[in-house]
Amino acid sequence: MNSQFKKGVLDMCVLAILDKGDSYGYDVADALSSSIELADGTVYPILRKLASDGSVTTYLKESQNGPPRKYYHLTPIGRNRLEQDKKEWRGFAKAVDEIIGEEGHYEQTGIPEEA
Amino acid sequence: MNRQEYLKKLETCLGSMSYKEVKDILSEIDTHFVAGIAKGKTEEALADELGSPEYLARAYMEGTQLPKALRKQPEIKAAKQPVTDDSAVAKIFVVFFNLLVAIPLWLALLASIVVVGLMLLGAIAGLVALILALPSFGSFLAAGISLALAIVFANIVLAVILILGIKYFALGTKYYVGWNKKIWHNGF
Repeated sequence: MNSQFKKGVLDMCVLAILDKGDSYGYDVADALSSSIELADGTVYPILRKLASDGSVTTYLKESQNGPPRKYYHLTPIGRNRLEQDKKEWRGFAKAVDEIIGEEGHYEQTGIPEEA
Repeated sequence: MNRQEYLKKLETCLGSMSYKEVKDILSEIDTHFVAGIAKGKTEEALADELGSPEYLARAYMEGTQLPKALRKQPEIKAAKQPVTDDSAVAKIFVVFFNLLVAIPLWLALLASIVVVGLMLLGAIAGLVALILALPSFGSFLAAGISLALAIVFANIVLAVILILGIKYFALGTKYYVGWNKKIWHNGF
């Protein structure tokens, strides 16, 4: 998939995953790359950016195996941003659908073929 | 590529970031390996799935540097706010620290330097008086001379202490004033 496509919406996807509950890096990466074709590493710079702009906070939690994990928690700022992004995305996706849907319409009616 | 190689490569590619940030990032990616290994994956597979370390480093640097340049106006204001708050706290701290700790301490050090200086002057005056009085010592001349020599040594020691004291006192004052200015202007 076009990487420019992904770039714009990945922040929103990460926020949406954290909206379901606090999570740590590996799980966020797993959740994202299981449905979108993506390098697992991609989520880490995004998480870092979201933490620096106040959309998420982090805390350490012990794990049974190995060192403590860094959990990410969605803040009210992050939740607001998610709602706004979702709204924008839905409007945008609908508009794009309408545009590319027209192409489908042409295919259905058939572009006049040259005999 | 195994875990060590991946982290090493990532560290090299993150070269231009601060030590603290690099340490933070490396620890997070290392935790990714730990979590993946616990789920039964190999280091090589995990490194593969993470994507190339060069790409990851680039993504990290875009996240920190590019948006700063491209940030919209209101966000710049929002980012500046805490800085001024912080420097206000720093200014209050500087004032109180100076009033309660630094200035009394500075005066005490200054006073002890003055005391050493006065002691040196007193010892020199004593020495001069002793030397002037030597001719009248008579049979105690030898004792008088050795006393004078002892005072000369004491004077040398005092002078060295005084010179070193003044030097470090001046240096310390200079650094302390510099440190104050730094905190005053930039916060902690």
